[in-house]
Amino acid sequence: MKKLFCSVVLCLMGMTSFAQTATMPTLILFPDDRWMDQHGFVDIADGDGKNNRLFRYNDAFVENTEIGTAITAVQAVFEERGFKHKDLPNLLKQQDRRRGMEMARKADGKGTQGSNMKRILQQANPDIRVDLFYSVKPYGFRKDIHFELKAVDAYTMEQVSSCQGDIVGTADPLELALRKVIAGKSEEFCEKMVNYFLDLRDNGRKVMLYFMVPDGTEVDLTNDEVPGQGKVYQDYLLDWIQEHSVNQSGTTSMADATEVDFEDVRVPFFNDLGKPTDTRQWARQIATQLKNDAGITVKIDPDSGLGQVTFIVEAE
Amino acid sequence: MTMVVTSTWAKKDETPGYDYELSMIKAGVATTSGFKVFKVWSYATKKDLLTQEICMRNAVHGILFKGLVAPDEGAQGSIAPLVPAGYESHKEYFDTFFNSGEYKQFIQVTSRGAQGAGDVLQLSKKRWKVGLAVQVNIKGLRQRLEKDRIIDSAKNIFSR
Repeated sequence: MKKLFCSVVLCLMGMTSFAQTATMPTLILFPDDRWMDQHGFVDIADGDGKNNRLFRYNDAFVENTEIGTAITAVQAVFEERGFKHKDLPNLLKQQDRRRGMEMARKADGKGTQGSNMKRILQQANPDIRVDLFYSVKPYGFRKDIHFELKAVDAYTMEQVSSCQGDIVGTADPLELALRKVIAGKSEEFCEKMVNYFLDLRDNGRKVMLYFMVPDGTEVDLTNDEVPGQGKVYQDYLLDWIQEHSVNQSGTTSMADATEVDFEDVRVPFFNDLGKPTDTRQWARQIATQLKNDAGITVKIDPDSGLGQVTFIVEAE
Repeated sequence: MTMVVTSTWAKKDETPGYDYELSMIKAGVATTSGFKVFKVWSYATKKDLLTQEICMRNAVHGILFKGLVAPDEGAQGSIAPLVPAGYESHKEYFDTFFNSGEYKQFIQVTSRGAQGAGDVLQLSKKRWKVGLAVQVNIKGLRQRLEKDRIIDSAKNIFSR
């Protein structure tokens, strides 16, 4: 009996001593579009009368050593501060291996294969995209350097953090000067990121929810009532979202018969039992509720991430 | 015996308070993040009170609670205070941290503590100002505070 009691106590101690960790937002660092453009690593492709810019990230990392140094310096800061991040050059290599034959047929970035950045973002699925830009104005053996770092929430497009700096008349080699400015400026950048993370923890992760009705499904989201609930789908969904989000957040950003979008929905990091939860798990509850209340099948689009969930309304 | 105690009390009373300012040194830019080289200007009524130890204590105090503003130009960036909630938020912890001299693990003087002609100034009859260039291991200091759960790290923000 004594042994059993000890085992139970030890088990309980073990359960409580392990910290519960929610999914941390992931970062990915890109050379800024302006930098890519200024250094000629962009192809213009005609897409339905519009000029689509296709960035050649692979070429940028191979042909320009400074951008690699700058990216590595920023990533070293991310590692030091404990931010979870994905490495763009490695993602590009991975992508290359996966698309080996296709890439051999078409020149890098050319053709109609779509935006390189979009593909990378789909593969890496980051929550925060960080853009790095610098420009150099040489005169004599000295140069002026301008540097910018900007972090944007990949889903809400909200600016998370930024910093910029100018070094005037430095005689340092460019790579050394870049490392200095990044090391010097990164503190304030990271501080803003940490404050953003604190806001996420305290007020929930800001997400966007899209409900879509595909062709052939006879549901009107703005006019049809949810069976037995006395509310149209749009209102029913908003009520559920506000009831289950942090601080009753969430507003309707767009609504018509086939699509209703909600923004500023704050999803908690931990569920009622104190266990970590992510956006997808939280969103699955809506699907379950709709199924129970109205017999409606709603599927979550597999491309949904931590900051965005797309629901496909299937059938009654 | 009484005299000794009195003298000890007198010495304690004369320990200067946290009266200082921090200024960035343009040339002191490190290529490694997590370290900052800057100058701490400490103030007191007597020059002798402004020992190297007091100046170093002030520098760490400044990084913890006041932050350091960088000039607009140059590679140096500003540093927000590591503990924006202030000394009083964890008074007992910081009393021990400063009184035991633990703060010295995270700071060192640069150029062996050499001071220039303009680094010791008498502002008025009872006002002295002493400057000292120091290097603070901000990374180490932050990690220590994160480990002791005084501040949140990016990782432990999402833990409970």
